[in-house]
Amino acid sequence: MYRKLRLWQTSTDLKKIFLYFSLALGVLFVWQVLGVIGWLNPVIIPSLSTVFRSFGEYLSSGELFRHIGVSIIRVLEGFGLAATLGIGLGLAIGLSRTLDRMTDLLIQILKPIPPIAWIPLAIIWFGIGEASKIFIIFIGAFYPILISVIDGIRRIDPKLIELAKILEVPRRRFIKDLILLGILPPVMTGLRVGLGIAWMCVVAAELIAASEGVGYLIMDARQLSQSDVVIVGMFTIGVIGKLMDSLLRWLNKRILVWNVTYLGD
Amino acid sequence: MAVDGNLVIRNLNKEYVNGQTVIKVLQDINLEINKGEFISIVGGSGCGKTTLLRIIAGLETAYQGSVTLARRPLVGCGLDRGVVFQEHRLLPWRTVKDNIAFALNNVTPEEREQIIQEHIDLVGLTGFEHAYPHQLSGGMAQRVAIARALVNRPEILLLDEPFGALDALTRIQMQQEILRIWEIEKNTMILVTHDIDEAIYLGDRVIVMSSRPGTIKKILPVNLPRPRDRNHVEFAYLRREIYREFFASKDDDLVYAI
Amino acid sequence: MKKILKIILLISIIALVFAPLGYGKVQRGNAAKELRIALQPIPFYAPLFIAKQQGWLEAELKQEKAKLKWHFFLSGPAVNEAFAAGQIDIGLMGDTPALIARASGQDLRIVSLAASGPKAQALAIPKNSNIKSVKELKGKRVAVIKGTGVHHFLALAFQKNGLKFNDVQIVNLQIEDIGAALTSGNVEAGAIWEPYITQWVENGGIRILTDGTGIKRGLSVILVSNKFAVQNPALVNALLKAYQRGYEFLKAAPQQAAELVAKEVNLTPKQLLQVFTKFNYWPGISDADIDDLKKSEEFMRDQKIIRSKVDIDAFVDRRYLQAAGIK
Repeated sequence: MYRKLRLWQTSTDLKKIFLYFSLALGVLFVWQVLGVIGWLNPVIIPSLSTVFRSFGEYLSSGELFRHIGVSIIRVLEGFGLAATLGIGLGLAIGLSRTLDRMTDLLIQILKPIPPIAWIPLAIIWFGIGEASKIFIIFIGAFYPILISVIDGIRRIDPKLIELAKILEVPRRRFIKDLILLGILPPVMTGLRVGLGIAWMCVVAAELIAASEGVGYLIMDARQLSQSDVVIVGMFTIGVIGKLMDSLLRWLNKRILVWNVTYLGD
Repeated sequence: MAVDGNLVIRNLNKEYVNGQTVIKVLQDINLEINKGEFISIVGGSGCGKTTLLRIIAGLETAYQGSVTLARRPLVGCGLDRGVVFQEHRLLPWRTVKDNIAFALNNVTPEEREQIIQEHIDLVGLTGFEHAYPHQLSGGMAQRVAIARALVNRPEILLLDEPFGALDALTRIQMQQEILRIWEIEKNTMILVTHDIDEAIYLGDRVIVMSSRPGTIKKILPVNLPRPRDRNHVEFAYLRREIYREFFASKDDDLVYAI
Repeated sequence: MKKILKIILLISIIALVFAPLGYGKVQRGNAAKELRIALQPIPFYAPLFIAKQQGWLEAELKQEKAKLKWHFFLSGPAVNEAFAAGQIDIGLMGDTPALIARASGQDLRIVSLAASGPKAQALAIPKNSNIKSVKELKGKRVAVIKGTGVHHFLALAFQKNGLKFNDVQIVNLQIEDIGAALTSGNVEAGAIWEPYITQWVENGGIRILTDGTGIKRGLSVILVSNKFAVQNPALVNALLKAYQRGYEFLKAAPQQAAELVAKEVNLTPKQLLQVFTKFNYWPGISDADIDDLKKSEEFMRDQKIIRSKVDIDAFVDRRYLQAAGIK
């Protein structure tokens, strides 16, 4: 009886794992099959085995790690800047009606401008060194974070705000216990989105005179018509992005112990 | 003849203007509540009882008339009046202990520990100091809200349908609890409810309010010793009296108000 | 049963995603008779621009009942992408991107030169720079686009002066940004080609440290999709004839030629007259040219710019030149 139960449990776990990977594996499978039967134009899209081989080369030579490392540092710096300024400014705007009114127009106008469009100005302002690249990444990550903070503050249950009024809670405790903790769920989401965008901007940022980095790897391979390396680069970006997101999600769960959420049926 | 420490309301009127229509929310409310009294205010929806409570709490400030406590006019909110709402309004991200601490100002760390523990014990939640609100039942959460409201030793505790969200059995349990707490803390309690039985069970006096406009129809003293027997004939008599205020005779139409 | 259906649906969706990437193994053919040409708007291809302006190419093509379509790009590698996507039949580019295209597996042929111009490649430095020789670039920032002809030129220039790429900081910039970077002093040198050389020297931002004389022949080629050439030799013939005509016109009447080309390239006729002197536009391919290509191929394999060997003798197809009577 117990053994049957254990088998059933393992098979449910296996089912869960299978479900998780099934779509991705399916894509890879179809890709390899199409490559083997010669249906793919090698110039447009190389076969999975070619990509795999390149991937192996870049991994074993350590080159891939070098590029990844450089890009991660840039992303962390840009993202760190975006988080600090985004949360700081977001708090200030969220808590002050005057500031909100003053800054709203400028923020709404600048928000839709894609990071790539900032590149010419970034070069003029910051030169072609690290600063301009970090600026591009910063610009991408900044808005989602800023908006999540402001929105989070606006969404705090007004009943709790009323409660704080009745209890004559001093400003500091009001901000610390009510605002800062109350906005954690939407801000954590904003940070996740921001980090994702920061990572996506790495390709744009590394258009500016980079000699290393995953984005550079892709653009370089493009110049040299090496589609397989382009795909290696894209895949690397995808995987690292996913890992970063998983890390934030895990952090999210640990910090927000009290947040009971709906996970779907 | 205002006695020091009493809550005195004189000629309280409040209007609500919506475009062209003027709705009289409260009309000519005159009330004196003695220090240490337990007052029940009962009425149907829309009779202004919640508004009255909020005015006493200081959450509504636009009205005509005077509201004084111990001869001081009440302006806005204050720590001398605590409030318990129908929802527990606990901070979901704080433990029971921290939720109560949220209300405490100007105390030393040792005092804080002591006061919090005292009140947790008072409401019967010893052992749940580190629980989060989502882990508590409705009744337990409401007890935390009560503890939090009492932690600053307010002169008056205002309760706005505090047990309305709880099931019937828990409600009765909580009524007993609040009575027990009142007997220990000995502050003034003003409870707003739509439950007639609750009003009679708890109050020294029951204030019956009518709706549209909101006025005091009747004030009934409850001269039964506590703890009260809900099946006592005197209890039933009062119940019928109050019932009559709402449902005059079988032939009358029911009036619905929002 | 339902589960199997789900899996089939899944695989079909995935296969559909891959559908546009196939077209079988060959490049997409050209159904209607159309000649699609891709190039940069630079003086390297002056004869073709002359032919375009004079309508010679159109006239020849009309005889073959074919239409002409022009595509402009900003660099050789960009033209390569168009080749890979089957969007063009003929591309003009430097020898380096041509080799890259071939090495990546595209079935292309070099059918003629477009131009050779050692002086059309240059290593530029900011106008007020103190640098006097290539040797002084050690440790400095040098901008160059990998995979272009000037990339090879730069390597050869370095070699001549005892430098390696590792001795400098190679900075990867788009061609437009190299000008700004030189002017603002963000890089100490940049490898560029015409018309940028003339443009940026004239507007005062840069000066030339050294050019390709004696270093690299600076070949540009006309590249054709093999399938297209085999199916439409007459069209290729028409193109080469038009090119030859343009070359002769330019030799005979440079002033007029300059005015025509100025309409396609961002230089004034006066500037173009000067620039013309840097080029030899004769489309014929000499043995020396083939040697130069072989040397370029070696360099690129060495630098890991290409990963497989390109057989130059197979890559260059001189038959079309013969057919067009160009010797």
